Amino acid sequence: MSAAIEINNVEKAFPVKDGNSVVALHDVSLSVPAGEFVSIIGPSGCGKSTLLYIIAGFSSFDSGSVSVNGKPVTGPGTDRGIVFQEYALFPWLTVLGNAMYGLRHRDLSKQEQREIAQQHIKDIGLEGFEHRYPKELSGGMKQRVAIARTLACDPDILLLDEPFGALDSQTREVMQDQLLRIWQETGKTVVMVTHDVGEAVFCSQRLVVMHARPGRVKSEVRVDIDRDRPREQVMVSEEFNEIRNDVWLSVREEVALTARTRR
Amino acid sequence: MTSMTTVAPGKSSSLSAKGGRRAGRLVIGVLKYVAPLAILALLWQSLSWLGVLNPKTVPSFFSVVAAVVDLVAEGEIFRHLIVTIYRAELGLALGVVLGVGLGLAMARLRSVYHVSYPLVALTYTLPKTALIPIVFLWLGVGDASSVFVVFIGAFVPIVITTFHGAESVQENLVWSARSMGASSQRVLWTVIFPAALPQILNGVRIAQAFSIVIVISAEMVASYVGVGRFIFVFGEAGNYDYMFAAISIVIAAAFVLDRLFLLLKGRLLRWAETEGASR
Repeated sequence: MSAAIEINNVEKAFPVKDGNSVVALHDVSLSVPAGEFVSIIGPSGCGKSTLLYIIAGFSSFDSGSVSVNGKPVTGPGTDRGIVFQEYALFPWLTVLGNAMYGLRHRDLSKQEQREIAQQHIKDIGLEGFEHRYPKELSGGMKQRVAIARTLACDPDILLLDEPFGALDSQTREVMQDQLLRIWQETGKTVVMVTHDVGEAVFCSQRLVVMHARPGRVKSEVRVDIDRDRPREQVMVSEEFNEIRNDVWLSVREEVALTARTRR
Repeated sequence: MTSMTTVAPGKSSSLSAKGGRRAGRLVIGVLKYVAPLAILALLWQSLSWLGVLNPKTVPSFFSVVAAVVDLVAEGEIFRHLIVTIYRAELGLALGVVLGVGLGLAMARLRSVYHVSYPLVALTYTLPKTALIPIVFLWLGVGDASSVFVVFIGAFVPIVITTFHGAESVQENLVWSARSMGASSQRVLWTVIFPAALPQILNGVRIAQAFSIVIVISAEMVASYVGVGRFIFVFGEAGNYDYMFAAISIVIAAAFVLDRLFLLLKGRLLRWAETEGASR
């Protein structure tokens, strides 16, 4: 199977005051096959969100190459859907209006647009809330709308930037289950940035652990666990906890290192 | 938002009690508004009675009230008031259309920003009323000059609030729209404009108040009709009670316009987090 995302030797520096610059990403290479669920994990400041924004086409990079489905990335595109931690819903549109936003400029009748949007709202469990404004929804519901809005555009690749970081742990687990179900049903490629090790191990097939200052790939971990079991069986299983502990130690090492260099 | 009220036994009685409470709240609300004004009026009238205020230059409160009643009964003032409001609102409307356009362009296009910013910054502190005589020289005495000066006065604050509103739009809203296939043109009208709308409407509200001030100043300098002219004529003739009465009617009209605008704003921003009680 060909790679959905191909990143080779990417370098990225941010200018700071006094004409200096900070290296955000150094020699980052990553290949994501179509249909894979990959999580990028690491301490804050390791450039994981920057890397995601480069894939999304929001940020530029200084050297190296980034391609999606064989084509170099030059800007945002409908082949890559994004979900942000802060939901980024359009507050002036209702749930239905948000879910229909990406369908407006397609060759679809109003009725078809509405039906597609409604289907995705229903799938994510928000039936009956179509005419609410985002301000009337809880955090978990807002994030569901953001996911429905992105899925309605039917992108090949889902880019998730700490999608559940603002939610309480119970809501977060429900959302992770829902995300896994969507991934299993649609077979989309998913790249998720998170700082939650348990979440990363539970959801993804592969973990990319990043090193901070400058951001680079430290290690990759395959997660071969059987996900056809209910969550409680997965979470107490030996295989899950073994991987979780290893990755947690690896990330912790990075956090400790960053804290030391900061002083 | 509807508030939950505990249901008392007996539905009909609780409903009427609720209606009564609502009426009670309304009365208290009006009283809170009127009480400070009533105290001021009483103070004013007392000073007149005590002879502290010279009735030749500062008419008593009651004589102004009598003059208001007289003006309203006679009705002539309303013809002038309509002309004044028409000029103010037309100038404001022009200021909104062009001001929002320039403000959005400045936020999106560097070149427009670099050309316009110094001009806008300088015009911001320019006393617009100082332009009135020269504008009359250019455009003649009539609607066009008044509308033009109002337009200048409304345009600048609207450009500034639109620019700041458009510039502070969260980047991830724009990114989301782009990822869903929206063109930059579509992003401008469906993301940046609505996101900036709360700030734009704050600018329009301030501009509306400016508009009334400017149009009346213009009418006082030169005009055949308009409330400014009306006030000026009474002032020249030394009819200060009628002059104050006309000013009071202008204040009342401006207050109503402001309240109407707040209603419109609340309606347009019913989705906004912070749009609760509008003041």
